[in-house]
Amino acid sequence: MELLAALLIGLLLGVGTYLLLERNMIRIVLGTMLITYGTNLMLLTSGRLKTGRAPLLGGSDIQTAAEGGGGIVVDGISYVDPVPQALILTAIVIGLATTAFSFVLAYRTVQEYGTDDLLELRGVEHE
Amino acid sequence: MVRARIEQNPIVRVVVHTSLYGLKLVAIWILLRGHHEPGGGFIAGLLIAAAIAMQGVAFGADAAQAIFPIPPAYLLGSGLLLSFSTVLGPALMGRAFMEHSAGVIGLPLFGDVVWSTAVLFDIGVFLVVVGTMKTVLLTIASDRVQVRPAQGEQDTSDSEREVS
Amino acid sequence: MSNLVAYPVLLCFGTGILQLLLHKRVVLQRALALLSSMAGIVLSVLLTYTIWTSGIQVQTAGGWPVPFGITLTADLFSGLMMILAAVVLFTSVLYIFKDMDAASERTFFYPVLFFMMAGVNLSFATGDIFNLYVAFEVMLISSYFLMALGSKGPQLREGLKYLLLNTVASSIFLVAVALLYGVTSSLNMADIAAKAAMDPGNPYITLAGMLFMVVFAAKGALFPFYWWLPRSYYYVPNGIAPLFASMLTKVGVYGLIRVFTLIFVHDSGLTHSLLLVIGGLTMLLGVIGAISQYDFKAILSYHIISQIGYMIMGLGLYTVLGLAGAVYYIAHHIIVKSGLFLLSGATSRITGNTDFKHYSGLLASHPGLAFTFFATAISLAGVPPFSGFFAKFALLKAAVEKGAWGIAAVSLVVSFFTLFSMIKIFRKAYWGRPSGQRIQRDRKDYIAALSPAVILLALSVAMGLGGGYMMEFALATADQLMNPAIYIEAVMGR
Repeated sequence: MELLAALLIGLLLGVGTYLLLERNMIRIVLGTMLITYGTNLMLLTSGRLKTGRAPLLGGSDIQTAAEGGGGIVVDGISYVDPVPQALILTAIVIGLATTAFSFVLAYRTVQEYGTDDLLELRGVEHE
Repeated sequence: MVRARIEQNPIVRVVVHTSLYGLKLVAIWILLRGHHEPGGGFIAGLLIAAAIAMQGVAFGADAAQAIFPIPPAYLLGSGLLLSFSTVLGPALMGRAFMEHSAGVIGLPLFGDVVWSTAVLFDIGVFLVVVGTMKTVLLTIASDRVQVRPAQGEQDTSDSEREVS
Repeated sequence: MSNLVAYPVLLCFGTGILQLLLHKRVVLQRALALLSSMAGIVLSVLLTYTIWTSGIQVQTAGGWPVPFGITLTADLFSGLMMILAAVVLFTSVLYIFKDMDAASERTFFYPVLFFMMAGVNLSFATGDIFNLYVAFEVMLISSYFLMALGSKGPQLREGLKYLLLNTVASSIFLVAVALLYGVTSSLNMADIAAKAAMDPGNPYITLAGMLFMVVFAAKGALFPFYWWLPRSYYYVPNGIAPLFASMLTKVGVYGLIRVFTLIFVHDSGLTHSLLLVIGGLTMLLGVIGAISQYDFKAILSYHIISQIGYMIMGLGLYTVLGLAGAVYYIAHHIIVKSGLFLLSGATSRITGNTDFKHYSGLLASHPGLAFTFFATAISLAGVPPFSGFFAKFALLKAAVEKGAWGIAAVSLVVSFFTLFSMIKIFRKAYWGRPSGQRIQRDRKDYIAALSPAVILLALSVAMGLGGGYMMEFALATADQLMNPAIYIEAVMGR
């Protein structure tokens, strides 16, 4: 399962990097989106992929699992590690805001310059 | 052109119109159960954002504006203020900042109801998400694409930009 | 266990929220900005005094037990950075009242400014590696907005490049966090440091360290990733350029110093030597860029890069004196660099331009401006009795003590070139025959635009004349940084 996730992360990051190297502005923004998704998946994998109950506890005694992290065991029942999920939620929200902003910025830049080719947007010194 | 056709499509209009109520109810349900079960202000806010997007597709941007008809800046500001007060409040009362409290209260009709200050925080998050998504969706949706040919930067007059 | 460490963050955040609700009332927003920035100075000084007298301040959000909750931790270094942030904010706000155009002021300028400062303060206060990422993002998203404010063509173009670079760097940041969490199952920096100390040879931790180096190098404009800075900072509006120039890259430097004195200290033969090389290359290439420029703001932008090299040099030396020099240098740089950017703004208010080709000879008509610039510039170059001298002296002494002759030589050469290009600005812009157009403004306007820079110059002089006290403080700070055990015990041992 981890191998599969690793391959998927690699694929997402690879495609994202390829898109980043394009000249078209929208493709570059899409590339950063894919890279963000790849890293989110990596965050999920960092908590170890395994099944367990939703980590919502009524009780008070919480003990972390053994070395290497991932998963919480209370009274013999295993729960999934909640931390990576919280991290991903945060990362997704931040990614959403950044992506929305970069699309608007890209759009305004296209409006201003009439081109979405980054080679034409290199600019001259201090106009 | 595609836009215009969708807006005139009766099936889309009816489906959107009827499902909006359900969507709003589900959003409120998810918002309120958030602190004990999966859910919360963020997801509820996204549901409302989906409602706004659907409304926008079916009935146009003006109709979408009518959901939460408060200017987004105030929506964002009040949501942030609500969340912020649950962060600062405990600190002013001598506890750790962001400390939440909960308890059970007996109400006449509902029986024992669990209250929690975390709900206030969540409602704040909800308002912020709705405000943000509404701004993003409506800003992009209401803009008419008008790509000017590349010219010098000097001759892009301000009046022209107001129109576009 | 006191909330004091959270208050500077909460103050900025709360101010931003109130200003957002009052976004139609510019006067009220201004009043709030002024009050809040003054309160920020008081709070951060109070916090630093508390750390000085009673040790590192720790608080967790929601009062959760330590490795689980989000920890806010402030040691002397964090406290110092918060004071500097507050001082620069205060002087910038004074200048912004004069210089910001009215349309920008009405377009959510103040709320976003304070959200950015909340992010900056949170990066200094946080003790949690993921929270550091969040703080960075709060700061960066606000900075994208401020950079594109006014929507002029080049601003949008360079803002987009800045945004894309930072988005990719943030993704690498997350990968590094994921690696660290996978290895140590913790996000608390003190907890991670304690676990890394138990397993010093772990290659994954070194790998995460290298990723962090890349991330902070990109955000702090270090050697391979410095190219974005001169172009994008050049187009930042004059009012906020001081804040960008002095604070934002320094947050990257802060992150670098924090993780490479706390967590990744077990392979210092590799990592810190690499940092030393990067520092040397950064300062050299930055100053070469600066001497090739003929524009006030562009020269200053390139100098940011070369001076970040000095700070990284202190970290790379990795001795108490070296870090003390780096801390002193950061304090000096933040004060003096924002002063210089304020002066470039004040100059372009008179001439309407920052390019020397279009004007010269301001000394005759505006001697106050010219001499304030001269004093601030030689402080930057490191002439006594200003603060720059003592900072550079400490760094040089540390390099010689360690036997790092190469970096010592490079830093001396760079200092010389710094002086050269500062004199070039003075000679081209202020000296010589008056030429170029002048925008007529009244005397009060001129003084109001100049006074924030004079405040900062006075601080630089004070830091130079009180060099002994400042050095004592820097040494105590470096002592804390060199002994991660103090930090770890303050967080974990309760």
